[in-house]
Amino acid sequence: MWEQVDAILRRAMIRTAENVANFLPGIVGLMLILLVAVVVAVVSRRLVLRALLGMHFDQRAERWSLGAPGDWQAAGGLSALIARVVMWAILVMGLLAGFSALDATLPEAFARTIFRYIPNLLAALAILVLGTMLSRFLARSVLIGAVSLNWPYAHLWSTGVRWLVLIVSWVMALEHLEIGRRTLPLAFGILFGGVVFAAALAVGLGFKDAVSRSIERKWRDDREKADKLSHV
Amino acid sequence: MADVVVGLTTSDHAGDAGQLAKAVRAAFDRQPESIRWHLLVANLVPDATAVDSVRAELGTSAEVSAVNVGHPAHHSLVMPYHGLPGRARAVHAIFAEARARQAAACLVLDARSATGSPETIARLLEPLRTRAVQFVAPAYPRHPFNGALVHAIVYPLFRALYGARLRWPIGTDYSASADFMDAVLPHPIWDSERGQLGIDLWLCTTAVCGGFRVGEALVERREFFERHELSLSTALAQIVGWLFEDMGTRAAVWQRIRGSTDVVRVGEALRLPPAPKIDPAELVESFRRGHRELQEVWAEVLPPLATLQWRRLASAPFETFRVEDALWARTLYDFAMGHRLRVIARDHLLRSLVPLYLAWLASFVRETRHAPTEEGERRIEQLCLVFETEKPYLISQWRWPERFKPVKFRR
Amino acid sequence: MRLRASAADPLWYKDAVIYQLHVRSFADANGDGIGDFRGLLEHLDYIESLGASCLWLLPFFASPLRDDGYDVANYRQVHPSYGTLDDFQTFLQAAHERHMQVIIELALNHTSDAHPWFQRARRAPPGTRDRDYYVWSDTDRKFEQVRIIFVDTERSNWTWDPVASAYYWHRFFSHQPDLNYDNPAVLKEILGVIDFWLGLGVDGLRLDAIPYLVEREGTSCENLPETHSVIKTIRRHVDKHYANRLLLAEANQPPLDVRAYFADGDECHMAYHFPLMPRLFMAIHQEDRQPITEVLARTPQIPDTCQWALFLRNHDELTLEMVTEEERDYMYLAYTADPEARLNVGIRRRLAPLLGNDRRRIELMTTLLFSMPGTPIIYYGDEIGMGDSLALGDRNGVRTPMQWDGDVNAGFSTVQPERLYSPVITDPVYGYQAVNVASQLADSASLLHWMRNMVNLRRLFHVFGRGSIEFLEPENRKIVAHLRRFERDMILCVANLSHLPQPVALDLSAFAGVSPIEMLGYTAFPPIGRDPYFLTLGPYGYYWFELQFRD
Repeated sequence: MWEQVDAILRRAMIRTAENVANFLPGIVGLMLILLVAVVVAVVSRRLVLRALLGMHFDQRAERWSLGAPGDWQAAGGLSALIARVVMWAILVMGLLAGFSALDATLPEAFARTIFRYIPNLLAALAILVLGTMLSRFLARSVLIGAVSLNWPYAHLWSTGVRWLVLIVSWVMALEHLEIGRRTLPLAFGILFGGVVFAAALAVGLGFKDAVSRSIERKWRDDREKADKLSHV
Repeated sequence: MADVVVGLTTSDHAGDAGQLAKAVRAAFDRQPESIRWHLLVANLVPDATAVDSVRAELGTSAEVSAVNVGHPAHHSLVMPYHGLPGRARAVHAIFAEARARQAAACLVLDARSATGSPETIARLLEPLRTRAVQFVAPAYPRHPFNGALVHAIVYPLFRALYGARLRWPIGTDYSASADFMDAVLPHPIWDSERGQLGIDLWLCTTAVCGGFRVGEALVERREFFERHELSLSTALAQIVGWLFEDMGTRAAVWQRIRGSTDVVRVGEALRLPPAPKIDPAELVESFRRGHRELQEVWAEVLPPLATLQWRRLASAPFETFRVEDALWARTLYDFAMGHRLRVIARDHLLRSLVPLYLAWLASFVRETRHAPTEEGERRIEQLCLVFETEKPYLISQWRWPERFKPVKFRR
Repeated sequence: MRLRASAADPLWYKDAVIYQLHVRSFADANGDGIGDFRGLLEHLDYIESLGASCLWLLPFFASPLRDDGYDVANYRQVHPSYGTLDDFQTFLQAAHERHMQVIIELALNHTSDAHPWFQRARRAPPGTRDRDYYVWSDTDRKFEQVRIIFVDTERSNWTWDPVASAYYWHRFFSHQPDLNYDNPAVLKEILGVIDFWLGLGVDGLRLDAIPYLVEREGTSCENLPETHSVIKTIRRHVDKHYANRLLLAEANQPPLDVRAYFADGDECHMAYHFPLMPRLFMAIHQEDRQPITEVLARTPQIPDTCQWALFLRNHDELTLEMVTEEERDYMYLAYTADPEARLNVGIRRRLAPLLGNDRRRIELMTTLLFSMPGTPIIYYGDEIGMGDSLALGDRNGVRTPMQWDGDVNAGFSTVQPERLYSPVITDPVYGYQAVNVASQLADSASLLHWMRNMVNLRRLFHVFGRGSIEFLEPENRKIVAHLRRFERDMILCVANLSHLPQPVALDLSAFAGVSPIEMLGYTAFPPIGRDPYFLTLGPYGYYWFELQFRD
């Protein structure tokens, strides 16, 4: 009997050792891939940061009205933010690639799904980032423009534009992520249509007098302009 | 060959060009000595009606030539505040023509507004010919309420920075001597987009900073209104933006100038036209609205003390509404620093100045509307002195940007 | 037709502020642990924002690097560790786009023994043209009275070469044989090298060790007339073919001997004022202006087109060759508590450690440097108060990697730390975590911000680079006060060399009616009258006043 026990134990040990031996390369592979991913991520962050600094990206972004250098100071600068995003993206991809090295079915399948999803994810991230930047810029432009034109409720207009752009960005991003593919655009369409309809009603009913006065003023005789103030 | 080249810049005011050319000829005919003059029509739109109208008035024997200086397509996106896209190229063409004809002097007249009267021609020419002046800027006899951007910002800032009491640095009618033209013609500004926006201001500033002898002549002006007049916010952004950018390139000059000096002045003060209609209460309301909405933007450039002062003003009753000269001067200097340090997008920064400018205008109108016109002039002179007194505030921050500490101070 | 330079003004160097750096130490872009031109290019914006208008690069030619590149093995090749010639040209163009001029080193007194010229010479028969590229002798007795410069490492100026079966002459390390300028072929070669670099657009050449070009028996072999003749030939050649270039003489000599290197404006454009630098340190330690005023009183007038180059520290030791023995002893006692800091006849420490990391003293010394007549040079890293490492041999302790941020390797390189060309400074006071560009950029009260503002302020006023200097002599010797004048500008500089507050009464009666404006804050001070003008200065305090007549 002890011989049988011994044999069973040996077989168990051998099986365990075999399993470990089968599993170990995957672990080693995972660790190697992670190590390479960390190195590549750090190097890429530096390279991207240097490249962006080299092309004065922060200053160009300010000229393209994506925000003044002061706006991104909390993040250490727009270039630093982008470089950090690149680094984390590579780290995440490395992690997923490491899973596939394990050759474990579930994680591998998960990793494959994630890899297929990555382009959509990146596109969604890009849309969100750009949309956020654009919403801030447009909101401020509308605010200042509305104040200059003496429009009432300039802040509301500005907030409205900001949220509109943000919502559009989120909807587009979620669409890319294949979340609520039919529901969200539909909801957005209803909402947006409703807003536009309400605005049209408001303008038509509430501002018809103001609009007609404005049209009259525009076509008034030039002689009356002699009394008009000229700032320049 | 000619002694004087007269350049008319014209766009879609062909009829004005003809009338102006006729007046110019009459003016030269009445000059005591004989002057060989040549007229150049610098057309800013690609059509010939302006020169046709000039030739129709002057006859084919007159010394007239024309040049079309349409602007490159990429410049047309930005309409300059003076309403003449391509103006820099037009002025360059006039100067170049003058030098090609070896003229000793050149007059640049804006066909939209210049009257071309004999007195105007004489006043623009006389300093060049008899007083060794090399650049003559215009002074327009306008009511102080008109051209308020110039009274409130351009003139005080230009005078404090560059030390010359030139009333209309952005004027579009002026004269230049041969050596001044020779000095400025090679500069790359003429082809730049920046040049299209502010060539007149650049010429004036260059004359003052470049050690040229500068004068000022009273130039009669017709008030006119562009069909497509730029909004106040765009005009302000362009003009003030130009001034602020120039400060960056000429820091070594304006930081050594203290006070200001008079220039050679030609022409007696004329009776000013009546005041245009303006309701200061509306302006105050615009300022209050702007204050409500743009406080956060202003916090990027204004220090706590100025922020509080503007806040007090926003709640002040109309009867006591007054923008102190020192507050206005320091506010502009703070905006200049904010522009230099790019605390927010420059265009946003400049446009956000509009309500503050309207507050100043409201205060100015409220104080002077019931007083004689001379009171307005006196107030502007007072404002300029305060700008000069507050200049150390600007220099101190400019030399040590860490001293610039607006409310939203991040560094 | 002369090749145009990037600078339009022929006297551009008079208004320049020069930033000195070693490509190897500045920034590593390719991750091999050694700084390179691409790394330098990536950080040009930083130098531009500092306000420097000219870069001086330490040697970067191909070299065995036994003397940090001053032992040149190929004058036309960039050392592969620093990049390629294309990389250099890209950097040069980028510098010019930022309106910055570039000066490079030309070690023309000697080459590396690895240079093909030397390899040919040692094998060539005596008396042949190739042999005579260098200075040979059968004995080591020639030029016996000539001093040894690197006293800590060399015992003689001659070294036996078994291949050549002769001694060769070297004023510096034994692996740096001196070129023989009595051989016309040598000068022709050097002119060819000059044409190569100036033809690429380089704005200036620092002529290293030029007092020693020519040797004559019975002399000190320094500053000989024949040496000046060689330099004049070089200058004529440069002026003939290139516009607005600069020749900067490295002549560590007394002021009168250095004066000769300007000649009548037909030799070098600039030369270092070596004697002034140690006297600035002496003055602040003694709290007495006398060392400064005395050395400037002894400084001869130079031609209008010439300029002194001024510095506090550089890549070499703080040389004490141009002071008396007593002064040298004083400096050793004052500044080298650690004997390890002494090297050759100098002190191998950076600016901040020399001044005890005292911010006020660093500001004062920098202000003095900027207010003296000449063109100031800032050594890389001194603008953030970098430290040094005495553990590194020779002068390497002051040539450590630039400290950009608190990241690994101070942001200088991504390589593993042990593969860096030199370790970064890690001590708790000067270590890269405490002293780095990123942290100082974020701190508006930092030394870096102060330095940037002072550089820009100095550049606003041409009087500092082009004006005359006149010392006032107040009774209080702890105060150094001098007037700078140029055209209509008048600047009064007053500095307190003491660690205690000091009063001073200045005789400014000649300027009665003038209102002093303190320049850093643009504050008006009371107008000057006929009576002495009283000022109080805090510890190591300083003022720069614009003197303007009242309106």
